[in-house]
Amino acid sequence: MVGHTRGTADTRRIRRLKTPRSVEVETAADGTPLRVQLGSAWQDVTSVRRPWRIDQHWWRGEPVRRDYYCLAPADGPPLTLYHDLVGDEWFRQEYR
Amino acid sequence: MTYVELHCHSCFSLREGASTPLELVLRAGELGYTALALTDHDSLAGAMQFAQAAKAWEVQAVIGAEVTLSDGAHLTLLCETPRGYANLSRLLTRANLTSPRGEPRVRFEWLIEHAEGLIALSGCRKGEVAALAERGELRAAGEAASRYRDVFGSEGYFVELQENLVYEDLPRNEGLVALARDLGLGIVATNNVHYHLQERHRLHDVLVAVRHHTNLEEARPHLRANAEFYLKPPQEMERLFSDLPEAITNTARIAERCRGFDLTRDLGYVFPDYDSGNGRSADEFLRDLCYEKAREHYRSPLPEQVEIRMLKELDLIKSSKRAGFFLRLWDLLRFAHERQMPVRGRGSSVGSLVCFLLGLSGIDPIKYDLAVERFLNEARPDSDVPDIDLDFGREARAEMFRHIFETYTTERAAMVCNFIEYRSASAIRDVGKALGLPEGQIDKIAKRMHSRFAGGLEDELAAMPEFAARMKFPIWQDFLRLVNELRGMPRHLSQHSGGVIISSTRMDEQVPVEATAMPNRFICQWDKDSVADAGFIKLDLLGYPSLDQLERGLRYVEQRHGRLIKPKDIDLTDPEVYAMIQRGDTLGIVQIQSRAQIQVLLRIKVARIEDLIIQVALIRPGPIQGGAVHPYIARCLGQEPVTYDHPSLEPALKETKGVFVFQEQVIQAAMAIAGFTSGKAEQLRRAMSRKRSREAMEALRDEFFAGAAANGVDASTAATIYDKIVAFSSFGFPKSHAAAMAVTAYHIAWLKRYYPAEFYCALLNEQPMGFYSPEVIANDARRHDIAVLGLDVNQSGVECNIEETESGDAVRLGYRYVKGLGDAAWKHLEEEGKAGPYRSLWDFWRRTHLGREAIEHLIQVGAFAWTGLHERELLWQLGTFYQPLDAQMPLPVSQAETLPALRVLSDKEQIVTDLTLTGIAVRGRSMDLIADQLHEGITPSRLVNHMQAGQRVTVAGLVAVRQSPETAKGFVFHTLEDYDGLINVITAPRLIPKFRRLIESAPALIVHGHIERQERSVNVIAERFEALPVASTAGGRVHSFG
Repeated sequence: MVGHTRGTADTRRIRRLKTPRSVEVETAADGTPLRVQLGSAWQDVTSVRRPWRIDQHWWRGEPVRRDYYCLAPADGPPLTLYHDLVGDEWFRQEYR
Repeated sequence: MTYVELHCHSCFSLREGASTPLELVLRAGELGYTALALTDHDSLAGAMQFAQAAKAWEVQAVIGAEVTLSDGAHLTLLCETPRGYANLSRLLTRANLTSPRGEPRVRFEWLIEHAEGLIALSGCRKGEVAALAERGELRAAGEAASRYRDVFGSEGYFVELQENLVYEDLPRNEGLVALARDLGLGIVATNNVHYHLQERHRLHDVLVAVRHHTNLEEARPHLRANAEFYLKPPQEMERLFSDLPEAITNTARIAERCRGFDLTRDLGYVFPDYDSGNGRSADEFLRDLCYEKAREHYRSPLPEQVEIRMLKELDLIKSSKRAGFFLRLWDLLRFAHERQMPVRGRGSSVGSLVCFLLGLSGIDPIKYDLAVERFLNEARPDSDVPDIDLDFGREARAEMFRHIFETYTTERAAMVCNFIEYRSASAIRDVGKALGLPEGQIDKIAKRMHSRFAGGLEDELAAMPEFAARMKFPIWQDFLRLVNELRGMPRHLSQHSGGVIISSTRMDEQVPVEATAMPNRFICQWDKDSVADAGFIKLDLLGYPSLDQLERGLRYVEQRHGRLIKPKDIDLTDPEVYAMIQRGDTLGIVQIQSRAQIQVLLRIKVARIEDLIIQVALIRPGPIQGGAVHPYIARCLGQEPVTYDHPSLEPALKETKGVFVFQEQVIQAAMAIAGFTSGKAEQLRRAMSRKRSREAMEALRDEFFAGAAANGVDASTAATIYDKIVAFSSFGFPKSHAAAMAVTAYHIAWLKRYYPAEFYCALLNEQPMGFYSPEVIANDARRHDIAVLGLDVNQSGVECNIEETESGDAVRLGYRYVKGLGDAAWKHLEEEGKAGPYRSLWDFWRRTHLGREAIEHLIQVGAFAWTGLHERELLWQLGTFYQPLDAQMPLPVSQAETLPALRVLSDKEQIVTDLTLTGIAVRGRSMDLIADQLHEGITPSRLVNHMQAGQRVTVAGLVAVRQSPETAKGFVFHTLEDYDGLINVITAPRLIPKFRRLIESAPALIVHGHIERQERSVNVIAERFEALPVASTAGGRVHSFG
């Protein structure tokens, strides 16, 4: 997850991440997810939390630029997806 | 609905903000902002720059700061009224003066005292309220917000919401909005701007890494999550806060309220008036004082021209209400004069008769026909005050600072600050380290860019084979871009060389004041430009070691010859002194000792002080760039006729044969050609001399051409004259300044001519003072039959002193010249020396208790030669004095019989030792170190001076001075020294790539070339260089100048 800016990390919020998995997403004009493919089925997105953005590691030659979305699909638990702005791909971020 | 950014950092938030105030203002203008705040961390250093830029670009400047409270929490404060600004300035001053240096902290209780006129925003994520809200501690956050509300009032305290697309923003803002609703507080959106364009976020990250002394990888916990902290378009901010429109409208409301304070208008600075104490006004007192002094100097009745000039100046002073200013200065200078401090005026104030009469300058402007307009004129607005520049000896200057701060205290006085900017080398090192580039490579690049011959970074890297291929890699591309972005930004705050501001109102309400590393010295957060923009009167108290040199030399004359001489008593018409100057025998004489000055001295005949005044002003970047030097010399020599670009210039330029040499001539020319008033002409001159005044200059240019046309001057002639004025620009002397400099130069020349031993002794005791190394000075002394004697513990004092020897006067080196001693050792040696001569090394060791290394150095430089033992024997003997703790104490018996056979130091070893430990080869000549490497065909300097133009020549010598001034268009000038004297070598830029290492750093050179001769001035034009290896310590004698 994204680090706090200029502050000490609040360890209560730290969660371990699983390796992100590629996912298909349909978006609105402003980039907000409208539908997401979970398994073989497409699901409508019923609500989306305000996205957050990370833009880091530019000095490594492989910058990380992502917009993260917490969303609720029509059927199932909330999901965290991110849009990789460098490769223009969508990933599902899961937590252990 | 118009968003105004109220939380914005510039590069004056050091090692954090990545854009200059000007960049922020320009971007704000582009984006359509009507107002913009500047809220640097704990600083108003960029505030005046910001306010001036904003005014020019018609953006309202909201002045504020993000202060750090005792617990580290941030709070954004904005100035609503002049009182609010004064309070903010006092808060920052108080924080700076009571906290560890560089970590100012504001105590909460101080906010209560200084809340009036300030609007507080709850702050960024590090604000107390925001941090509590982010942690979910809403109750505590509410209590904290209530405390701030109680201090600033509900109309003066707003809850700040920042939406930078960071994960925590949403919950924190939700909590803050709820809290604000509960407490009935307003909310306000800000973007916590740290750079004007999004792409600058990389530089911001680099600066954060620099702040934490690490690289970006290690600095990750401290870096921001994304690049959203830029000055966003107002529409973008309105979109982000579309669900909270009140947060947007409040920004505009707050900005509107802050119109009550304009930093460019409302500072309310007043220079202290002068209370004469007898009911007379300052104007009356000043007039009476001037009459009294004038009668003392000129006798009664006063010459008409004196009275007319004095009354004119007094009128100008009265109309601009500056009598108190002059009287305050007179009062300060009385302190100096009563203590017989070496002090002298410099700059344009020397042209003022009032300044002369008050003792602020030492030059009679009537006698030397010095104009006052550059200093005082009718068009100078009251807010535009003249600077007074004063030169002091080093100790006198420190004493004056003490006196000023004792008299005015930190509440009324402060020194002007100077922002040390990132230069190429420092930017390369910081960016390179942040990017994690190999240290060795960065060091290599930095050193190369530090070179006087360095071009642009990209070109230099391309010229380095090991880097050229890397430039295509992204990391090196980043490196290049970031270094270029960082260069020129402030790195840290430092002291200006001598600027002091004094105020009758509290200084700490005008600008924050900080302590310096030096006790009892305090600096304000503004540099000289901001101070000038603020309309502060600045006194420049500059250190001028040549005054010490002269004062010291005259003191020696009095001590040795019983002749008390004051500088003002020295005859300025002595032909013997001018004859020496005409020979170019001016080494050690300030202003006329450089290679370029001597070259001109050899060509034109300086026979009067008026000639010397021109000479001093001629070799300056202004006249050089203005193309004045060669025409002036040619006209002096009768090689070309004296002409004027327009007949109306003759009165102004007659004295200097039709060319611009003095700043006053620019003013006079503008008056003659364009019909400018003296005030308008001075505005033109000033506009050309300042970095920030392009627009002002353009406007004046149009006026100049219009005025010239109205005066019947054709456009082509007007353009020629205007171009010369522009080329002359700022880097010329006013005649008044040149006169002050020339008179001091003459005084020192007089000392050299008639009292050379005193001259060289004073000069060596005042080192370091710039141009030539002590070794080169010592060689010049020898050429004037003044021997330089080495250290001798039974003859030397702490300072050099003069001895009479059978062969004439000599200068004996003092202990100050020996490395490894220090204040304590000097004091001890001085005291112990009074107890009689030392009888042996043992006696010295026993009596002085100096450290072993110090005694070893004294032995090595021959200070014990009188014992009959050589250096190695003495070192061996010294070693026997140091015994294990439990050993029997050594007995003071002669140990000569027990000495082992030790080899005597060779001549070269002695020279190297002398150079290493004292900087002066006393036992031999530095040239001895290279003599055996000189091959056939090398011409010594005494013969070079007799060679004809075009003759081929090979010369060799130690490099005394290396220069490559900016005005020289890439040419490099070496002054080589051989056994007989100095040789000038000129190197064209085309040779630099091939011989760069030798040209740049060799301590000795063989140069093949040909002779260039102009009258008596001889140069060697270099064609090829040969290395001349020499012990590395000899390199320390080279003085290099840009």
